[in-house]
This record gives sequence, C-alpha cells and structure tokens, in this order.
Amino acid sequence: MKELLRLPAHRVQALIEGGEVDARELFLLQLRFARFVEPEVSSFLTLADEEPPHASEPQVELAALRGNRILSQIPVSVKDIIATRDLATSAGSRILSGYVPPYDATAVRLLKEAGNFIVGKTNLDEFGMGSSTEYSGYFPTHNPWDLSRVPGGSSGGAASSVAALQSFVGLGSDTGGSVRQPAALCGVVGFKPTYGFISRYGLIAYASSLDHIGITAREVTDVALMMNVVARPDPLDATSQAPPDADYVAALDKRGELKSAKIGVVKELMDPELMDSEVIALCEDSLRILGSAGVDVVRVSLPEVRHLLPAYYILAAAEASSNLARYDGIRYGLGFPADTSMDLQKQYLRVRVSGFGEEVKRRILLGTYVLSAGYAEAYYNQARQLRRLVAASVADLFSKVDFLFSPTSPFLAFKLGERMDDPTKMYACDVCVVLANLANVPAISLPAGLSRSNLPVGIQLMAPSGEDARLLAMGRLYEEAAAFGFRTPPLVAKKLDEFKA
Amino acid sequence: MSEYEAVIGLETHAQIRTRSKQFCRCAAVNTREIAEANQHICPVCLGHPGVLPVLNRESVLQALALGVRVGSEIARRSIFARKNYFYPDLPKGYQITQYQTPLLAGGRLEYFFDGEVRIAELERAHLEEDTAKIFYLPSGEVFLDYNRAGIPLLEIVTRPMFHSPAEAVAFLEELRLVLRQLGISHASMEEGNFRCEPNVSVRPRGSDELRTKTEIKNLNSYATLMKALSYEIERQQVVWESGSEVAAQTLRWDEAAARTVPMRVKETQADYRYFDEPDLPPLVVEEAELAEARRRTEAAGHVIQWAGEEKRFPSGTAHLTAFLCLQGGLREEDARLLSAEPDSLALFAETVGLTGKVREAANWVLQEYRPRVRGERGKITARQLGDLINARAAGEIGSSQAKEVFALVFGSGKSVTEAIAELGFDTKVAEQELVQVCADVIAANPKVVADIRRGKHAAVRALVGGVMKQTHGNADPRAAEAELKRQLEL
Repeated sequence: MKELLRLPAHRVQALIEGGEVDARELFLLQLRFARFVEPEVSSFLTLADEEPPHASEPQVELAALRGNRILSQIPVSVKDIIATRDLATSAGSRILSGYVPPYDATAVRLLKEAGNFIVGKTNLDEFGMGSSTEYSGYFPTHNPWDLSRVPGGSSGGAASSVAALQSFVGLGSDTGGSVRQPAALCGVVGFKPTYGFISRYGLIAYASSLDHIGITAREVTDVALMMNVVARPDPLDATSQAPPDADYVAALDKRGELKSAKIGVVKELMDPELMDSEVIALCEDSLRILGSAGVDVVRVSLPEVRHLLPAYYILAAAEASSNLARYDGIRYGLGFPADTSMDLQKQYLRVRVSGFGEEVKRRILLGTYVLSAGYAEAYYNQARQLRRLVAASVADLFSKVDFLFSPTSPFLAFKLGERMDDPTKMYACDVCVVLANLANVPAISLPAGLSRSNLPVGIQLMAPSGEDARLLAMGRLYEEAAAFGFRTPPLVAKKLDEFKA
Repeated sequence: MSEYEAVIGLETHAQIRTRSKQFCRCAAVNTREIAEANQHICPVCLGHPGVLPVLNRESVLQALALGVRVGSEIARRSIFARKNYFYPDLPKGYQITQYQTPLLAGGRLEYFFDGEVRIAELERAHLEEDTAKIFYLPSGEVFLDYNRAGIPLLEIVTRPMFHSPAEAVAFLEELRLVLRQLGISHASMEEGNFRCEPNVSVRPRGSDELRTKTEIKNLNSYATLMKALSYEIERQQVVWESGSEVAAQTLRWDEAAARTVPMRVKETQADYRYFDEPDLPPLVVEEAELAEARRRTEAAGHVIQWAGEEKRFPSGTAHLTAFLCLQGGLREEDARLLSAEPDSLALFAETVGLTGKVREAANWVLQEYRPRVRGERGKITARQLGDLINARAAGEIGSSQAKEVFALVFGSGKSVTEAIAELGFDTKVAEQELVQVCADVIAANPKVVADIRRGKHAAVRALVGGVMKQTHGNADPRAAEAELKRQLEL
C-alpha cells in the first residue's frame, strides 16, 4: 500500500472513490511516513495527531455546488502562514510561538469541507520573507533531492513535503514567487492564481497587495482539483474576485485547443548573465518540446525586468512594515508578564527585538524607511509607479502572445548557508517570479527535468489576469508532451523502501 | 488684551450608529462598566494574524446623509488608507482611515450664535474606525477593552474660523443636533461617542494671518472644552506679547492644574506613514446609496403646518429658529429649544395650527409638556392642548385651573371637557349666587368701595379678586366684574 504515497493526488483519489483504498487508512499511512522522513527534510513545524478532528465525508453541499470534480479525502499540507483552527500557526516566527488561531482560513475551511485531511503545517521563511526557508524562526528545511541544499522558499516546507511524499498537495503562499521557486527547486508543480481567486482570509499578511495563496502539487490535474475546492468568492475578503462557476478540471480537457497558442519567451529572463547555463539549457529543451507539440514559440522583450526586484522589495517591505505592526505581544503570541514600571516603548522593543528574526527586522526597517515622510515620494511612490508600468507592459505583451515563458529560478538549489550573508544575493533568486505578482497575472512552475548534478529545474508559464483555467490547461499540455511526470527523489525512494507501513 | 482674536478649528469624531462595527460583524456597543468589557470582539477587531476588513456599508450611508445635509462634495470613489502608529489601544498597529481622498469634501453648516445665523465651513469628513478603550485602574494596572475597537467613526473637520470658545461650542451643539436628528450618531460627549479636538491660534484683531496653532486633546465635555480653549487663548496672547513665539504643539488639558500641558514629544511628532489600504478596494458610492442618503436627509428635516401651509426646514436648529423668531415672534431661546426637539416641535406646530396662538402654544409645550415627557411620545395630543388653550382664552377656566386640567389630561387620554368636569371647574356660579356674593364682597370692603367712589375705577379688580376667592375660582371673572359694576352703579 505504501507505494500509493508516490502517486499524484488525482490517481489516489480515483482509487479511494473506486473503493480500493480507505481514505482514513491512507491518511494514517501518510502521517506515519511523513514522520519517518521528517528527520531528514524537516518540512513541518507541526504534524497533525493521528485522529484528525476535522476528517469527514465531503460535504454534499460543496460537491453539489461545484457540480464538478474536487479534491477530496486527500492528505494535504498547509503552510504555517495560513490559519488553522486549533492547530498552532506561527508563520515561522518566534513572535507567534504558541499561537493557536481561533478560526480557519477560508481556504482551509473549504479544504476540510471537501473532506480532505491536514497532515501538518509546513515550514517557511519567517512571514514568507526569504527564498530558501533558512530564515525560518525555528529550523531550515532540506531539499529532498540533496539534503545539503535548500528547498527554496518561502514555501520550502510545502514543496519539500510534496516532493518527499509527506503530503500529496500543499497550500502555500506566494508574495513574490514563494510557491513557484521552491516547487522548481524540489521538482514539483507550483501555481499562483490571479490575485483574489483564492481568498486571503486567514493568510497571515506579509505584503497584502502581492500576497496570494498558491498550490504545490505533483501534477497539474491535482492543482485543478484543488482550485475547484478553494477558488471561490469570499465575503470575508473584500479583494476576493473568483469567478463562481469556473471549472478548472474541465478546462484541462480543452488543452487540445491550445496547440495553436503563441508563447512568448521573455528574452531578458533567459540572459546567460543572470541565469545558470544548465537552467537555460533545460528551458530550451522545454521550448523544443512545446514547439513539437505545435505551440508557436516567439521571443519577446520586457525591458522593465531590471526594475522588478527594486520595485518588488520596496513595495513588499513597505506593506510588511505595517502588516507586522500588530505583533506587540499584547493580545497573542510571544508575550511577557505585564510590567507597569516599564516604559511602553521598552515593552514593544522587548517583544519585537526577541520575537522577529534578522531578515524580518531588515524588511520592517526598509519598509518603514521607504514610507517615511520625505522618502515615500522617492521610493514607495516610485515603486508603485513602476508596478503600474510593468503591469502595462505585460498587458501589452499579452496582446501579442497567449502565454509568457521564463525559467522559474535563475539557478539550481544552492547549498544551505551559501546566500545567507548577502541579502541581495538572496533577493536575486526572485527575479523571474516577482513579475507575476507585480503584474497580477497567474503563473505556474512546472518540472523541466534534472541537471547533470541531479537537481530539478522548473519552467514558468504566465497567462493574462483571470486566465487561470487556460494556464492550467497549457501546463497540462506541456506535462503531457514532456512526459516528465513527478519523480520521487532517490533519497526519499530509499526511505520509502525502508519504511514499514 | 482685546487687541487679539482667537482662530479656532475643530476636529470632531462621532461614533456612527450602526448595528455592527466598521470592518467586522461584532455589535457596535460601547462599554458602560468594566464587567461588560471585551464582550463584542472577534479575530478581526482584535487584529489577529490573517484577518481582513470588510466595510460596513451602513456607515457609508450614514456619512452620505451628513454629506447631503451640509452640501459636501461627495467622492464617488474614495480610498481607505492606513495610518501607522504604535499604541496598545490600536490592535493592528494602524488605523484604517481615509487620507488623501475623503468621502466628503467641503460643506457648510449654519448655526445660531449671538442672535444671528452664522455659517461654519467644513474642510472634510471621512470614515474611520475607533480604537480600544484603555482603563487605568487604581491599582496601577492598565486594562484594555476592545469593545470599542472598530466602532465606525465619522471624522468631521472644520476650517479654522471660530473666534471664541463659546462660538465653537455653539457650532458643536448644532453639529451634534444635526447628527442626532439624522440618526447618524448619539453624539453625546459624556457617553464618549462624540469627541472634539480643537486647534487654536491667536492673531492681532483685524489681521487675516494664520499664526502657529496648537492642538488640544483629551477633552470630554463642553465645560472642559471651554476652559481649555479659554486658557490656551490667553496663554498664547501672553507668549506673543512677551515677544516670543507660540510653538506648534499638541497639548492636553490638565483638569487638576486647570491648564494645558504639552504631550510628550514621542506621542505627537508622529510620521504616520500613510499609504493606501491594500485590503480594501476603493469605496465606490452607488447611485442607490446616494438616493437613500437623500431620502434620509429629507426625512430628518422638520415639516410643520404653519398658517395652513406646510413648511419644511433642514435638520438642526438654525433655519427653524430664525423662522420661529421672525414669523412667530418667539424668543430666541424658546425657538431653539423647540427646534432641537422634534417631539415638542411637532406638538407646538400642530397646536398653533389649531389655535393660532403661537406664544401660548410655545409656553405650554416648553413649560408643561417638555419637562414631563423625557423621551416618551404622545402623552398629549395637539387637539387636547388646543382645547385647553381655547378654554383658557375663553375664560372658562383660570390659569391655575388650566395647569390642573393639563396635569389630568396628560397621559390619561381624557378630553379637556371631561377633565374640567371631573375637576368641578364647570360648575358655573349661578347668577343669583353671583349677585349675593358680589353684594357680600362690596359690604366687606368699604375702603375699596370708597376708593372706587373717588374715581379710582381700576380698584374694581380687587373686588373681582374677592369674588373669585369666595367662589373658589368658579365664577366667571368677566361676569363678576359686570355684576360688581352694576351694583356700584358705575
């Protein structure tokens, strides 16, 4: 039975629905293997109890409402930046140690209502701020393909848990590529929908105008099944704007229509100066695969690429400085016994200095600076202007092509500690992925093969805002053409062999 | 020091009357005692990680109603912003407010001051959310109550244009009434749902410069507002006269020391780092919402029947007071009292319609009706009050009898005729009896009669008084006077 753990979710769900597999038994198996491999990879901050209190039959109402296929009865992981009722949620920060949310995020509620099981809460860079999961306030996560390397970030735990057979699908968050970049580095699929398609209610805010809940999975079909559960309009999120009737699974069947689609390769993001040569080589392979599938591949230019990182880091830091102001130790999380003799400012400092990690402090300071009187004009307002320009340029490109193409990560998974000393080197990881957040378009990272050193490489496809279903169909088309399905990392395969169910 | 004049601007915060809070579904209820604290809270108004605000559209309607009333320019698309600062009463570390694009810009509100209608110019009004309430316990502990956190607020800012504390208060009272009559806010300073932070500067009289102003915070009654402003105006005059300059400061009123004191610099030199609230889309005012606001504003206006005609006045007191003084000949104070209370006003206007007696109606309503009602309606109808006024005018009852009749009619549903009968005021002294009583009174008052005989005819009234006394007020005074004159052959 343990070989089931290697399957993509849609195939195991078919077995459950066919009565061949018991969902609860599968969950227990999943949980036990997750524990078994956890000392190697450290994907989770919290693992569920064996008796999941929420495990239930899918609610008829939700299934009926959908009238289509949804992800159901599957063990899923949830990034620890998404609120889960009665299950500790820390956003990877010491400042929220011991915090148990009194409510479920909308996406989590929908997942539970669809009868899925939560395996645990996955590790991340504190508040989503990082590209390697090394900035977790607790411990780093290791890449299942090479334990000496990072899984990427900030949803490193989500990607590693799906790659290391610890969960079938993961909910992550993507503010500047945080779902896609680790998916690429761990050899799984990572999807960021259009802004507002998945409710942000319950997603602990890092940079609200850029924050998305995203999906990590083994195959595109699993992403579509998950979208059919969680992509719903939500009255609790004023920026929610999901089309109520979309069917992402049904859309995959129409992928044949996309064979005459036009894909624009963003020249500036294939620049050998910026990108690892092995990454470029595998991307070119992927383009050839797409070409042989009939897709029209053209080269396009986006000169704003050089502005992407400064604009992103200014906007994200500015919003973060405000979003993280609530962590004062008064109402929840890290606190100290009241000391009325202490000056108010000292009390704030005591909590925030000990509760936040270095990278979070750096971004709060940066964000406070760029919003301050006298500087906002030069930094924050300029960055907003740049964002509008980038969005306009991307919209312009989409008047000529149906999809945009780039690598997901400019380089392969790097060694733990390698980029910790220089924040700008860490920020450079995000150059390809922040584009979709700034321009507010859906984007997906798909496995594109392995490097000579046996490390995964991912390609990124982007579609116009709102064309999420079409983007997934294109992803499925590529997946099929490339015949590069989900592969179990050798180390994990070995652990599975050792595992006694 | 009369060569200086004060220039006062007002920044007021009114809690908007809505069932739920500005951005969540908790009930918007102020805590009256500490045992009720933290009953109306949820993850959203506590600023838990991951929560999001959703705008309460009712607060928008309420604000729009004020906009329609004062003729503001209504932004069909306004933006929410975050005002960032740290304080324990601020759960999210920022307040959601409106900054560059307020919902309402400009506007004018008339108010009555010093015997005339004046016009206050509003700068802006916008939506925001209240903070938590901090209780400083005698033990030295600090207690936070989040019931108030997130209650909708309307911030209303005037131009600097009032020239005395009394004038500022006159405007505030008018604003408060308009807010109440429109149903926007309870607007009670004492209950804490109406707060005012004035700013003030002084300048040589006759100049139109604006000198450095100071702001005063933490004022919780009109009395402290008056005291603080008076103190601050005098302090600034002394500063300028001594050759120094007034510093731009935020002050608070120290009640014990009876003076304004600067707040700590840390609390005032804030850079709020405003930026657009990414969690809320722009507030787009729908045509239907504007129509509803117009309907509410219209409905809150005063409609009275006057000389057979329907007259309409906007909410508040200024327009109506001017009308009642000029057209009705009422005293300003009476007119303002009537304008301020829709119930009293309705009874007054209807009674005037029935009797045509303006002052009498005002007197009865203000002296007898108003002290009795205390918010309860309909204890006396205009028909009853009109009958009473007419009975009194016809001399059917005396003035003290009329008050007794009022007391009996009030709340009982009895007609005036029934009440007069029940009190025995209708037992008219018979003609024979009146002849006898008059004769008795003449016989008992030889001195008065002598005065009358000497030509002091007015002294007859003293005899009329005697007759009324003998008959316990049941005689018709006019009939008594006629009978006395007949017997005295005058």
